Amino acid sequence: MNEKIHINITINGQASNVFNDNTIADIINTYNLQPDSIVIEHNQQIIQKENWSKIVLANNDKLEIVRFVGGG
Amino acid sequence: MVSFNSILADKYYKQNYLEYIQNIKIGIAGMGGIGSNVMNALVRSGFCKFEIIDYDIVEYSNLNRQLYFLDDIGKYKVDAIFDIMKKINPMIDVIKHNVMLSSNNIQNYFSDADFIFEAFDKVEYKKMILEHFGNTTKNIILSSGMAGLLNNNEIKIRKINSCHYVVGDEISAVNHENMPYAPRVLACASLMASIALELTYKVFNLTNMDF
Repeated sequence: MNEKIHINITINGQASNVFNDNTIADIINTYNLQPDSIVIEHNQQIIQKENWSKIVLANNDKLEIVRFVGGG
Repeated sequence: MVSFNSILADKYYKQNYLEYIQNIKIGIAGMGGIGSNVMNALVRSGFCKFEIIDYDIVEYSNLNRQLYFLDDIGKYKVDAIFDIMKKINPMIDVIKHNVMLSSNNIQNYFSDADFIFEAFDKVEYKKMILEHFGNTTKNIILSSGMAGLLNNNEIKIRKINSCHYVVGDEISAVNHENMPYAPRVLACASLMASIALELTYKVFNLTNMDF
C-alpha cells in the first residue's frame, strides 16, 4: 500500500507542503492557474506543458511559476 | 574629440567597464511601451549592440507611453527607434528585424544575445520567449503586469533564478478597462533595464564607480 506522505518544496520562493505523488500539473490545478498564461521552471529547467503531468515532485524541489498578463 | 562614449568614459564609468558593456549583445523582442523605453535606458547607459524585433508601425495611440514622436507616425517601429537612438549615440550597432516573431522563425533570432528583453504585448508571445530561450545561459528579462494608474509601488523585480527575472506586478493586464500609461510602463521598463546594468556590474566585480 502506497501511503501519501508530505514533502517540502519551494513555490515561487515560498516554502510549501505537497504530497509525494504530486505532479507539476497537480500543483497548477491546486492553484487554479490558467495553463495558457504560465511558464513553469522546475529546478531551473523550463518544463513544456506536455510534460507537466509526467514530473512527480521530490523533496526540496524548486518550482517557479511565471504568470504572464498582457501588455508591453 | 568629444563623443557620447568619451563622456561616458570620462564622467560615469571606469573605462574597462564601459568597454565591457559596449560589447554586451542586447536582444529586445517588441518595440512598444516596454521595448522602446528599455532601449532608451540602455543606449543612454552606454550599451551599443542591439538586435531588435517588431513588425508594427508607430500610431498616434502609442505616443502616450512609447518613446516615439509625432513625425514617427507611420514608420516601422524598428526604423523609428533606430533613428531616435542614433541621436543619442551615433555609434550604436543595431540589427533590426521588421518581422512578427513566431514559433516558426524564433530560432533565427537572438542566437548570440547575452540579454533578451521580452517586451511583447500578448501573453502567448511573452511565454514563447521564456519557453524557447529559458534553458540557455542567456539572461532573460520579462515583463508582466504594468497596466493602469494605481498600485504603482507594486511594480517590482522578481528573480526567478540567476538569469531569469520578471518585472511588473504580475497582475495588471492591459485590457479595455485597464489601459497602459506612461508612468507604470516606464517604471517597468526602467527596472528591466536596470537589471542589465546590475548584472554586468556584478560580473565585472566593481565596488565603486568613478565619478
